[in-house]
Amino acid sequence: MPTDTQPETRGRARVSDRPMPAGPVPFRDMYDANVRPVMALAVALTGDRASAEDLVQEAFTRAYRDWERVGRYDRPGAWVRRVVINLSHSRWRRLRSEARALRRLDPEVSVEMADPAPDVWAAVRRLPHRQAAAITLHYVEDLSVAQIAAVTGVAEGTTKSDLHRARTRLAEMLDQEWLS
Amino acid sequence: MTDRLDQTLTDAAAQAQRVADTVHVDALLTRIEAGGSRSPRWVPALAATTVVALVVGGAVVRGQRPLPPTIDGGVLDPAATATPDPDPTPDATPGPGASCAASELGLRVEEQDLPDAVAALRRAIDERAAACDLAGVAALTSPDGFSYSFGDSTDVAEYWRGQDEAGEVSPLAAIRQVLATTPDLLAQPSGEPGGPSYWVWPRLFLMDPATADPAELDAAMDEVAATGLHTREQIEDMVTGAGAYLGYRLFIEVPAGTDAANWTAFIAGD
Repeated sequence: MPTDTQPETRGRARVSDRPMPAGPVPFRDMYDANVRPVMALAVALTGDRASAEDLVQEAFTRAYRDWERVGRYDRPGAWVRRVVINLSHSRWRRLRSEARALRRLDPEVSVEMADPAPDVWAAVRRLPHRQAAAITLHYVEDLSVAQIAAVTGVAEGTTKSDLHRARTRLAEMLDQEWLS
Repeated sequence: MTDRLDQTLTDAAAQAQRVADTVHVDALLTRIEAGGSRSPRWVPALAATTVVALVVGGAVVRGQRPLPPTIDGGVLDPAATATPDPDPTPDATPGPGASCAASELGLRVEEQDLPDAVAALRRAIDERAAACDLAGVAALTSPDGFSYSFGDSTDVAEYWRGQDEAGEVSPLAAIRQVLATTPDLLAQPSGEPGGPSYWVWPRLFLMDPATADPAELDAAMDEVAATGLHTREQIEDMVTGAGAYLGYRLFIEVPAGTDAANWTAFIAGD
């Protein structure tokens, strides 16, 4: 299992189960080890590359400017993932809010939300936020229940339940799409 | 059904990874190390014209990241540091007595507790801005790399002049307003022993709303609002909506182990 700052040589990098040694590590190492999988996570959560890039940039920028503190965390890569997940959620709420505001300004206008692309991630993004984060981390980053819990800061039992509910709900949503 | 769902999600994850693999992560790292310089599309829409101007588009990073210091020692000689600007436009250097938005601010930039070279550079930037000397201010930017908010120009003076003429915002006034706030030190954010540190105005930019003392955060937001740079409401929108102050901020770099000061960024929007 690679550490949070050591790129995995085979396949995708992962969030480690093993805590980092105490003390700050070079930011660049953490960045190299995590940027690709975090970018994939952001692509799934946002639905497009440009938005994903913005979120990832913002998350790593926050880590960079506060590296003295973040670099001492056991899993700074997990911290970055949590920021990306939270930012994606904020972004989605804001898009909905802006769409509502536009409708208020001109009820005749038809507002297309930028997000829902006709793919499985669009369905995932319609799940409750925590479930969406759990299912995305599981499939995009291949994280275990324990690892997902470490990233999201939610108890393992709750994470397990979130994954189960997410799968059930997704199956229902996709079943309707597949049947239609 | 479960197998089909698993397979669909696995395929979608692989597709997301393929998309992610097309991102130029080295260029992204450059922007991150510059303090973030491309305006994200998720930044909340802000009402005021000046702020809208801040959040649209990306930034231009000119040149390489920090190399030799532009200012050595504790005393700044503005004339000596003006050399990076190869051809200052004569009529863009109005000099003392000139009038512009920056000179009419009614703002007094007080001395701050800073290393000598940083204080001298700050003072020089402010004095030239107050004299409406746009080319002179641009000449103080680091020739080894300077980040500024969006635009397609590689000449920061030209870019600022365009902003000014378009009536979007007065860059010189904004610079003075930012410099009037309290800075904070961002110590070696790269985490590497030889990495540079940065003095950052306003300190609000470095505060994490999730962990900052609410009273201090409040005071830092008040301070920025008091300069007239953004309204208190706009600042709160940034801090609570986007999770960070995303308005104008200014970076002066101090290379490790030196007394030098390089003006490396005046950016906004991310």
